[in-house]
Amino acid sequence: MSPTDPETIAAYVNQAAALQGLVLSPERLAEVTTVFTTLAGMAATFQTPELTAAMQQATLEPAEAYRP
Amino acid sequence: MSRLPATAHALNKAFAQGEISAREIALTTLERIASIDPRLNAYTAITTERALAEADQLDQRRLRGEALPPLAGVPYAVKNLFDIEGLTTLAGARLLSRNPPARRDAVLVQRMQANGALLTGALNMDALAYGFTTENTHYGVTRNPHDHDRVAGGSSGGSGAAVAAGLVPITLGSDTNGSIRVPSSLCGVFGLKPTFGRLSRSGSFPFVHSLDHLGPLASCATDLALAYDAMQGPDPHDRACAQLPAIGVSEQLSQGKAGLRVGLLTGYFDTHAGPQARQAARAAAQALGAQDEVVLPGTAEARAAAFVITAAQGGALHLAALRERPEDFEPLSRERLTAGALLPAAWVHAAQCYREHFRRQAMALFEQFDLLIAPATPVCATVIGQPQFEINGSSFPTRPSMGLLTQPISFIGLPVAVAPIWQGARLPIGVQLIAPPWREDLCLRAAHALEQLGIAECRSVP
Repeated sequence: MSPTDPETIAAYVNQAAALQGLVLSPERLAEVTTVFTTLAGMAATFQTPELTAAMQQATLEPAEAYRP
Repeated sequence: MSRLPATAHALNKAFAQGEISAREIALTTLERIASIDPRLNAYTAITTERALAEADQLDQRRLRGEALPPLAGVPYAVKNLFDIEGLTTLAGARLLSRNPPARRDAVLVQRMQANGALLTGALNMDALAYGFTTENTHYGVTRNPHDHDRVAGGSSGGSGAAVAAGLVPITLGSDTNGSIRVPSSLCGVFGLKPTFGRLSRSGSFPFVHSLDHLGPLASCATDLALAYDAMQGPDPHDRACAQLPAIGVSEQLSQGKAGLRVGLLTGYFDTHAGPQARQAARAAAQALGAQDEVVLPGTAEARAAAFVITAAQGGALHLAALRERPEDFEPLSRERLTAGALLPAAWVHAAQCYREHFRRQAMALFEQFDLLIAPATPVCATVIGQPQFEINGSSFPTRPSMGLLTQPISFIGLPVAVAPIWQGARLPIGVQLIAPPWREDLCLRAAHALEQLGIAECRSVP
């Protein structure tokens, strides 16, 4: 999905909330959608084609946190 | 002794030399807290009996002629996400208020106690550590000691305010995206966010496991180093805690700025900082003999990725409670957690991958520099309830944006000390002194040097 298209985001948030078992009033749903839109815009900044290519070699997380 | 020495090292010396008893220190401290804190709301619990019991034990040890540890007789307090035996760990949240009391102290509290420090209580914070202002709907706002109409910063706002008000010389806080550095900056105290994995987090309430750090705030760089040295060491119970031996830094402070290659971060750190913040960073850079101005590529994206990971991991941590008890959440952050819990996994994965990419960018700079300098907050303390602040013609929401300059640095776990700068202003602002991983000694040497040069200063409110 386009991470900044308002209608797509609203539909996604509504369905994802239902999937997660979150019961949101219309007011809360609107507020959550606003926050989600901000997060989507942020997520788009580090998922450009150039950065995605540059990150192909990157490991997932600091190794110390997942040492076996 | 009518007024206690303002610093931990001076208090420890006075106690060790028999000029004052630990009980006198504890009683005087508790009286000052009782007198001043009602106007600040820094404390959420005061551990009077415990402080007096710890003080009496120390007095007995001194009477027996035993060797005294480096923090003997030093009062301190901790953000209320640290476990304190016998108290419910609130993490600033009404959601947790019905939990049973902690059965043992957090590891860092145990280490402070083993080093002779006297615990005076638990400190206010943003609910669940999600915020930068300590405007807590359920436990009240913590006020800035330098201007009671302004915020103390957050999320460790009680920790910053308690030191700035001279209630205790050392406090402990946590820093996921800036929660030690922001209140240090706004309250004008010294703070240390160590390398990710340096200090144990066992017995503290988490926020974002892959970003959470714990560390001290203090009235001077010497005290910061004393507290840091007291708390170092491996902990097998915190999987992220590095199995490294303690490397004492207190003895290294006197080396000052000698030999340090210092760079001033510009670019993102200039465009997201107001005039006072930029001037403070330049004054610190000049005093430390900065050779160059330098840009850290990809900083805006790093802040964005930190924001996404924080929302996702924080939301996931509290998802069950968001379903079952949404009314118990802090209304100022509930929907941020909810939105975070709905983020697509691929975005969160990309954010984690970007972390390694950005880390490599930063490490390349450390081939040229030992220390990087940047402002700690975009502006000085905002008015309580102020919804937005302006920087360079752009408007930013206050609660999530006070960490604009700290988030990219903690994102890759680098050690940072904050030194408070006044420069004739009515309110302080901090600068970040950023070093390569595991080189807390460099951050603290620089903070100490700025203090010695008269550039940085913690002005406790009388």
